Amino acid sequence: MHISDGIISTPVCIAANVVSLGLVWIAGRKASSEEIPRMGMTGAALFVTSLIHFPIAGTSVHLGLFGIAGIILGKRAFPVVFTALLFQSLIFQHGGLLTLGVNAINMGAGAYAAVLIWNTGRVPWTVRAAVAGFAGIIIPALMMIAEFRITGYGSSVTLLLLIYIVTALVEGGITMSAVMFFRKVKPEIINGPKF
Amino acid sequence: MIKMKVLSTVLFFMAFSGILSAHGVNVETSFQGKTVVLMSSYSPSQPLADAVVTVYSPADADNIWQRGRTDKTGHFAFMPDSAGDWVFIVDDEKGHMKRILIEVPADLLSAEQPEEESAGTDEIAGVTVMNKMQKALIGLSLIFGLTGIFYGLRARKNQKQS
Repeated sequence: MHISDGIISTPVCIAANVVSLGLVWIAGRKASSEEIPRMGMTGAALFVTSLIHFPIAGTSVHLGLFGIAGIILGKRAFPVVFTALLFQSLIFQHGGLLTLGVNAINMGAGAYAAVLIWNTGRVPWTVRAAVAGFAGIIIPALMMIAEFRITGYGSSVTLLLLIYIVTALVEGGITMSAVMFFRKVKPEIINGPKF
Repeated sequence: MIKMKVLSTVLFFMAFSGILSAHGVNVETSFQGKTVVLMSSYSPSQPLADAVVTVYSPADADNIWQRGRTDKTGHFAFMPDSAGDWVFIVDDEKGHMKRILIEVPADLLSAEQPEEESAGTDEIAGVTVMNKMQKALIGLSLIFGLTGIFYGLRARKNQKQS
């Protein structure tokens, strides 16, 4: 899901980087003493998650944890996603540096979608968690596929979509398990943050 | 009880350590006689098969010199006709792309024996490179370090306000 450099045009990448930095500032400013350690731990989890990958249909996919990041952090999720992507790019060359803004916007959108889904009332928490986790992957994937289509890059859209649907289903299950864990151990983590 | 849960969570993730590896594209280059052989992979156990390869010559950086695909094992080979910096781009058309510069020495063009001579990985040859786990630890250290800095700044600000 990490778009490498050379796929999206440079002007678009630069614009996306500027927008991303603005969003990092807006979403990260005035973070409280309680939120900062939570952001750090979630960022660390996002960073190492990309190390766990599995082959599907000839390519390689990995978990993202954007859903659980959105549930735990609320609006603070974007700067955390941006930071994790930055270090993944710098240290593992996973995703480009020029495309950092594009990737951050895609994956940040997934995290924020998870926040909105998690905070819808009345629906059982299991459903909300699973759908939030699913959205955390499928929304960035759809945005990436749309960007590929606009730039004329890539081959089969259907195959790519199927690959990420499978990944999103796995992620939904993992998000539900994580939420179950937090409900028992520290429920205030998942009940607090909103936009 | 909580300690047991934390311990079991840590052990759960440690169980994945065997498959921990970076997710980008890795390229290893070797020279076999006059042939440059490249091996592309997502990880040591997963080659980048059927990926689009584009090669640019140092003599003409604007026009494609060769275009093809990696084979099932992630290999691609070409025979350069001049010394210099050749550009090799591999792309699986699913968002994973890698561009590397291959320095073809002049003596390669007069090589006769197809003796395998490893030019190392796409990382700098002759320099000690870190393995993936070491890089992961560095990344985690940086993230925790940044968290500590911001936490300290916030604490100082709160102290001043109070």
